Amino acid sequence: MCADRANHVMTSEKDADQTYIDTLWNKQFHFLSFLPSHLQEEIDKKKTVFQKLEELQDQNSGVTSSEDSMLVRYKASSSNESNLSLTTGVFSKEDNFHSLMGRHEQLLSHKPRWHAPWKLIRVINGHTGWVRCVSVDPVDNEWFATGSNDTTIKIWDLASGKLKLTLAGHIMTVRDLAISKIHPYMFSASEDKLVKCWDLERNKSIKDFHGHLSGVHTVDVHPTVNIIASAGRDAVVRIWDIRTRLPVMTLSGHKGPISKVKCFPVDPQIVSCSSDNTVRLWDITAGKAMKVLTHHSKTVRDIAAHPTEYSIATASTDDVRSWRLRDGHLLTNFESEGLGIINSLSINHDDVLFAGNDSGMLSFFDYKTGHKYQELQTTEIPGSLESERGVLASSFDETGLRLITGESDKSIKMWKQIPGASPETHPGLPWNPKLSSQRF
Amino acid sequence: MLKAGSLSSLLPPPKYKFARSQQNRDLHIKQNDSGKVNREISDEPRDGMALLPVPQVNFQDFLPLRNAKPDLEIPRPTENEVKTSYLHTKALIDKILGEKLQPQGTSFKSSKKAIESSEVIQYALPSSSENGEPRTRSLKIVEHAADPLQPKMFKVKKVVAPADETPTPVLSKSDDVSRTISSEERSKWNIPSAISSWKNPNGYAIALDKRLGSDTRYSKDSLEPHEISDKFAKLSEALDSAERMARQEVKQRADAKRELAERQAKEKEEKLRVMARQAREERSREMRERVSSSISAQRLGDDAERREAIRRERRKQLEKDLHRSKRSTADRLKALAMSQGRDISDKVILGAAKATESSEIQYDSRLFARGANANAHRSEDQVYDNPLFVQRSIDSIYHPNRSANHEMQTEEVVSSIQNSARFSSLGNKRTREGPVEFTAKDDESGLTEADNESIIKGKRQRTD
Repeated sequence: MCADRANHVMTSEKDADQTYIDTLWNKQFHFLSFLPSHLQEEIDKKKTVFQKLEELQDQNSGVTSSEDSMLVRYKASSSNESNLSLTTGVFSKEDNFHSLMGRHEQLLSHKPRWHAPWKLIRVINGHTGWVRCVSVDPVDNEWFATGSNDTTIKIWDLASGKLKLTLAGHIMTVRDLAISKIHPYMFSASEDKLVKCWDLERNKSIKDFHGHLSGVHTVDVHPTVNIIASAGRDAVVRIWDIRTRLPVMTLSGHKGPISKVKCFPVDPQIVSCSSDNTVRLWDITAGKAMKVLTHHSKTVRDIAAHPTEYSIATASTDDVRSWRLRDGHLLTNFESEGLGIINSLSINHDDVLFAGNDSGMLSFFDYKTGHKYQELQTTEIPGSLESERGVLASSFDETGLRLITGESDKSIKMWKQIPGASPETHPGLPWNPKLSSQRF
Repeated sequence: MLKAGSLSSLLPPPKYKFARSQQNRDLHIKQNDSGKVNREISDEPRDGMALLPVPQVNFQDFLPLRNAKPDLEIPRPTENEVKTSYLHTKALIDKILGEKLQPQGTSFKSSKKAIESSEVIQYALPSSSENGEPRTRSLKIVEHAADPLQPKMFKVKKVVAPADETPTPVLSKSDDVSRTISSEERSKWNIPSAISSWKNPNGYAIALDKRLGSDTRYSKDSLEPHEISDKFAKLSEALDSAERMARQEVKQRADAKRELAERQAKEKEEKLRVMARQAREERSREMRERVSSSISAQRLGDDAERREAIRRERRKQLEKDLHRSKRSTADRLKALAMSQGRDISDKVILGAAKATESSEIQYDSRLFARGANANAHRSEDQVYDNPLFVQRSIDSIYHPNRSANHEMQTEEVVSSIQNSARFSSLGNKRTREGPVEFTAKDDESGLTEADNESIIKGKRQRTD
């Protein structure tokens, strides 16, 4: 009796799985069940006279079913075992057998970590154009630099928000800033085709890196070697030697303007994302991409590196994903549906991923699970237009307790977590994961 | 678990340029015993075309790793790894830099080096003389010292390497996400090459015809010379004629107005002339009557007639008085003045005459001069600070000026229009030029009684 019941449970579980697989199949591969006409023609051409005769005989006998025209035959009964093993392989260890409900429960049980919600603490005005990039001093965490459409770079005191310095030298928008950890240098990329090197001890521009054929959108310093990587509208990543200012390498492969470049100490040492919807992990010894991530379907606008984990997150319209860096394997699909154009991503030590939207929406995610726990609209500056709501750049400071955003209403805003918040007082957005969290 | 290779056959074909060449490939359809149709792409090249490896799509690529393993740890690279990577990368960079700093083709041998590298070849000539002594000759081969500043002999052309990387399958569902835009929308986004900062980055000015030629929005037939409709000519003609008409009308109106004014002036003149004649006639009649009455009274000496004459006189006087009483005060005053032989203007009679007013208050300039201590050098006997006549004005005073002549002429015209005969006794009256000149007493004017009377009468006439 008992065994019988167990058997019954087993069969019911199997039935549920069968339903799940069937629906999944119909959803995603149904169109494959019919052969496209052009392929059918190709097949017909290759058929021998003998085969044609056989087919004709089959048709006359009336044995043929609709399934004969299928490209790949799907027989639920025969391929049942392999499909089940596939699904179990996806969602859990192979030896652990779970039902549909069980898997959903398991997914629900991966509760995301609670994070305190964020609020605005300070608005800094000073730039006369869009604030296109924000970069925090990585050594002392005492100041941060912003670059703007007004061609200047301004350096601000992190604690007080006072302007310390204005660096002028570029003649077009400053698009990216990179502050080196191992040199007293800051590098700025501008749309005037130049990468400038600023000496932070003398507050002067000391080097120009000429060579880009068009505006430079991004620059990053290699953490160990004395090189910088820059990329821009000309769709190539250029690697420069800092000392001699020579272009060491040109990594071509992207088919559209590159929006972000990041450097890492071990392979892949350079990661770039572009408006051709791809993210490339470059192998600089071979001079070509070791992996191309093509999951995004729109322009990939930003890459953010995790400060403690060897992984990155990338953002395109309505799509935020994180990747393991060593092999470029997909780690998490974030709950980013309906976010719109995402301009900026930042990650802090506390596994908080921030995504800044082009329409001024700030979204905060738990990095591990991809759960969106807070969403808020940016505070508008009085006198700014509706169209000036976008978050263009963001950065956490070195402690991860402050978030600095550069916005298209020309202001810099600082955010921090609400002090004294607890899971009881600020539960955040609810956690209801979808069972099929993979996206195409 | 399914194998990676088999799953790629389930997925839609990858989207990349390479997919086009797929049509050239052989497509073998194998039908195995169970009747299952398998599609396979043969690896053998057709028409000598090299085949790129078929990208493999793994179902695992779509699956988020953290979904299956929520507690996955991804540690940062260890220090050892970082160090090896650093050394490796640095060696690579240094190698490339070394090549870049001393690029091929720029190295040259200095002349000194070239001499050093010379080699001497000795060889024997076939003996021409009989003694059979073999002659030897040495040949020194020296490399020609190259000019270090000479540009390269051959231009280095960069050959763009073919993309040798394997095509990557596109894992995004891009076909339904991206909306296909219509050609109309596309044309809206089209930026003409003349103003495009991509095609014309320096913003050079481009001639209009070339702009139009390069602009796809303008077709050839739209660029053909336009036919100007003759309605434009008609319109301008009509406008011209309307303007002419308007001018003519204005001119006519002005002419009519002027004519009317002339006629009125003439009438007025005529009326005045008639009035003057009547007055003259009346006066002469009065004179005649008075003379005749006095003569008749003297002649007759008749009391009755004298009384009658006196009575008539009185009646006339009464009539006059009555007439006078009917007149206004101003007229009565005027008449009184007239009887006394004075010519007074209307304004004086009415008390309306005022002293000439200047708009600004006049101050004695000496007040200011004194304030400015300007009279420091002035002597006691110098009463006025300015001479009465400045030299310039004295000169102009005694010259006959044209404006005065002109006035005289107009006055003559006026007098000719009016009765000029009255003033004949005065002779031609000269206008005064300059200050009044007084003559000695013995040189009296030869004015007769009659002349005096005529002057008075003339004045009376004018006031009437």
